[in-house]
Amino acid sequence: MERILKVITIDIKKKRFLKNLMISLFALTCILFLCFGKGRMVTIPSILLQLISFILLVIYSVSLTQEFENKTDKIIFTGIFSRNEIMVSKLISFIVTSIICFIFYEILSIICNTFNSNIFFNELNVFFLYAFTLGSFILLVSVITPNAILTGIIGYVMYFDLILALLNQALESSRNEMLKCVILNLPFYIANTGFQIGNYTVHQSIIMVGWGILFLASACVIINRKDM
Amino acid sequence: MHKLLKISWLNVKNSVYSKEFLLGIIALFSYSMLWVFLVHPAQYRLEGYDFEFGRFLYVIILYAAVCIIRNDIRFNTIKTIFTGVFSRTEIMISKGIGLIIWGVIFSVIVEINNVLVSCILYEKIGITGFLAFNHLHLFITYIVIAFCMGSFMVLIVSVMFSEKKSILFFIGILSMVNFYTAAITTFIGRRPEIAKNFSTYMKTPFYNTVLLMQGQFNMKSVLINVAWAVVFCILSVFIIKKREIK
Repeated sequence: MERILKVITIDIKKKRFLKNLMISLFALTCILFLCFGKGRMVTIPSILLQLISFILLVIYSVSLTQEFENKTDKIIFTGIFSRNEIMVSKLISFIVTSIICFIFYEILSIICNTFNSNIFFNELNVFFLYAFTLGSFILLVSVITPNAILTGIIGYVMYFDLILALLNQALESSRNEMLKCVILNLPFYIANTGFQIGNYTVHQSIIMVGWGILFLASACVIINRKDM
Repeated sequence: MHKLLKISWLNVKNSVYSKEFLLGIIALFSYSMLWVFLVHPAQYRLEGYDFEFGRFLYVIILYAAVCIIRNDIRFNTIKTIFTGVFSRTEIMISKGIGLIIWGVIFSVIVEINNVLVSCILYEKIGITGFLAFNHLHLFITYIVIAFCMGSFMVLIVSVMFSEKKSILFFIGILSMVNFYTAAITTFIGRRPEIAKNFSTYMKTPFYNTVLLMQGQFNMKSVLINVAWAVVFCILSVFIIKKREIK
């Protein structure tokens, strides 16, 4: 039990884990308030939600790659914890980051009068699944390429605007039902479209969990085979 | 001057031969081919495919520009180059020339994509569609974009230096801005009377970059972008000169 608790808190206990996140969230909120003022306060939470997805992407991309870039990977991956445990602790820290963003987002919704208690648990579910799937994907990419900025760009290309524009156009213009079915079951399509509206259906949630486990398992396999 | 040109060429050559660039090019062409084979919207001509390709290329341009100065920081050669025989201003000028060389490389890549798209969709576009395309405009467009947005990224890197998180955040946000600005340019194109609401935004390089990428070539946008690029370059030279390089 004590070991599990330790695994969970390895990454969270890191210095400046919370500080950077809170500073960026507060700074962005202040900028948004300055830009929109009191007149259009209702739009602020939805814009912040879009920015949160970027903040999460950046934090995830840097988390594991910084170990490689600072050459601390040898220490953490050959210490008392197994490599799988380290990967899980990274993923847990991603989920904690996401939950902190969620709390911040909900507080902001209350301030801006857009809080809706009916969708509270839906949104919690969305933040949790988003962190799980995107986090495991980023872990997989970071294991393959130790460059933080490149990892972030791959994450951006695969999950954000570019791929969404492509997939949305394909859904509109294609008559092939098989292709549509494949696109609707891709995590790249589901993750951000669901995140922006704050809702995943049960079917989508299962797909997200499935892909997340697949990404995490592949990342663990690769890191276990890697020569340190 | 000859030596500066050589440095900037070597700088760019190193990045071009890197694995990351190769990966980027493969991803870029795969993305373009997905548009051609999977989506092929009925109303799209060569300009449309060119624009979609350009959107992806924009992300690579930003990354290439970041690499031009960040590779020195990553591999710890920053001390060597900024304390060598060249002054810091000269080194920064060589980085600026490097951006223009990148622009030439990127416009060649876009041309290769144009040839590919016209060959694959020979019934719809074909060789006539390819020849009807204004190649000189395309050439100038990508050099200007690489120079302008590249110098903006160089400025950001010279301010942030080794702050990976902020640099990555800026790349993401700039790509997002570029992506959504396309909606504004199309909207203004349809209803020119609302242009006055966006007058400040229309003077920024972000708006003009999208305008150029969409194939709406005009000298005003080119000049605005070049002017911004010069401002960014001067600012980054100023910052690098004042900075203590440890």
